[in-house]
Amino acid sequence: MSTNCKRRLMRDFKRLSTDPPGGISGSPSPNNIMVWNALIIGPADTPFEDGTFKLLLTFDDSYPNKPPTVKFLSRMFHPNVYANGELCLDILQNRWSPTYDVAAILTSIQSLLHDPNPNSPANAEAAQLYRENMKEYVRRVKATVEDSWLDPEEMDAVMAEDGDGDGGGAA
Amino acid sequence: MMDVPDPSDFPTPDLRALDASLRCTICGELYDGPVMLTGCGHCFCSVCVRQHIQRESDCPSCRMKTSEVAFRPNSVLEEVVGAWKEARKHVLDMARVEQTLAARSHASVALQTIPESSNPPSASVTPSSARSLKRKRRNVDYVSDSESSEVVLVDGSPTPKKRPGKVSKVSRANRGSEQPSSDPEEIPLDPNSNEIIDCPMCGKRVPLRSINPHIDSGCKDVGRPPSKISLSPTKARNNNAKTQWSSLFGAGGGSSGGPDSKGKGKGKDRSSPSEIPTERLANASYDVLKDKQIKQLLAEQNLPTTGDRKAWIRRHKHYLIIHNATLDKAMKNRSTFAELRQELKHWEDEKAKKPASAGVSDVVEYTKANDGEFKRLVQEARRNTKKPPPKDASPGISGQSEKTPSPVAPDIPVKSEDMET
Repeated sequence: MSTNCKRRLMRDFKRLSTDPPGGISGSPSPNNIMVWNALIIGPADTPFEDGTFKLLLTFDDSYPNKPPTVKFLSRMFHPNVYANGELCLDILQNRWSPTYDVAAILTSIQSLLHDPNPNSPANAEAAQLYRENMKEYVRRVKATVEDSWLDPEEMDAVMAEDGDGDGGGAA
Repeated sequence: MMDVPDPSDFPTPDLRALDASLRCTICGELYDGPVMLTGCGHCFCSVCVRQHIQRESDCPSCRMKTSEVAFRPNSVLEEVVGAWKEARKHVLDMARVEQTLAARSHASVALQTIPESSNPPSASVTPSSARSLKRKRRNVDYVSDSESSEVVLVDGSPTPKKRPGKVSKVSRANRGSEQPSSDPEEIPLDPNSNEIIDCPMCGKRVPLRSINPHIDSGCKDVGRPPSKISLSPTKARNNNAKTQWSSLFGAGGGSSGGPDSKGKGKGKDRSSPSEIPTERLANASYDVLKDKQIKQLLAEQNLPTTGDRKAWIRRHKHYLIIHNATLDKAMKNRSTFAELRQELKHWEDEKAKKPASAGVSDVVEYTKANDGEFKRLVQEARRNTKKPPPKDASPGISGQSEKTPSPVAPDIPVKSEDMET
């Protein structure tokens, strides 16, 4: 793997630590700088408020010329998040720029939470509810917010009994 | 984990801003061969933007359409960055000393209420007023020193041990003894000089003539004593005699390198024109070329033809980038052909040792295994939420963030075309 890429990731980490955007944190995993854990707190005044959403960022040595792979580890109910946690976000695909860093990526995802684009749905049900039944959309989102507070073991239990289709994001 | 120099090394926002403004927004390093894009005026390292332009024909900062013909070497910025590389360590040292002194003086103000003449009635100094005092003092210092080229440490900062007036003198004396050649004017500018100087970045002893490649390489190659010619091609050849690469390190310039490589071998001078690229190489349309023709292209640049067609193309493409990028530098900062080939080999070696892709297969297991780490991140993120928005915190870093996608642009367009259903 490239030294340039690792140096850049070290800088990203320094920047994220010295000047962290509100409600965002992240750090490389201790044994592999190419894999990062990150956390976004749901923005205030949105249905996602106070959710603690876990993400995984995977870089390869073409970073920053190519974007990392980003996915939610927490279960999500959002028009632009696939059931497996992957995101449909332009700056992580065809609108990527090598000047973006981890702080910029996480900030973008944070604002995607309260500003979804229902026209390019990754989760058709969420997109439809967002357009047509805001009340139900909010209810479903709030359920994932509560899920996000659970310990992994508790989450297992929820997933197990989750036959009722309550979690649109369940795989 | 390795440590990388970064604007956040500096304790104060003003110096962070200065350091950040001299860094490429793609790689985050101090500009290496900066080029400006005519049209939008944004600047990047030549290598960085040349790599980007292979994928996208727009400016990485503002997305204005651009192409290689729009790149202009920014020689003034190159000079500025060169000077900052020299000065950075000293400024960093001084800034840290200043911070320590200021912190110490605050502590003493709070604890002992020293009746120092330059202080306001100290008995009533509260933390906040102490802070504003510090700020005021710093402003005064920077302003008052703006005419002299010397940066002077906090005059008038009351320390328990030293008298205020002496601080700057002491530091100036230290600075002089540590680094006699730190002043740009004191450096003999003869690039062929045999003089050995201290590298401003790592402090190692390096021949003056190879200081630029030394710094460019991230202080990895320690320059050899000048008597042996620091860039001796024969040495490289002997070390790696087995590979095709190494036999090429010593070879003379490519087709564009002017007259045949008579400078080859011992005693070659770095500044000898045949050793430094002077002509740009044109892009090739590999798709229409036969294998033989691609091999020919590599041979023209004295590059190895190991591997398959894909490897040849990749090798030639990257060589083109670094070759043309070094031409965007001032003559004294350019790499020689041998150095370019070495760089290319290094790049290929790194590409070759790909790490086993650490994909996470089982999300649930991974989340469980990293539960502690995520709990820590939750606390950290909560803390960040509570603090006031860091708008004025660091103008330097915000210089970067104005190019970042989100906070500025609420209309983050969620892409729709090539969704992976």
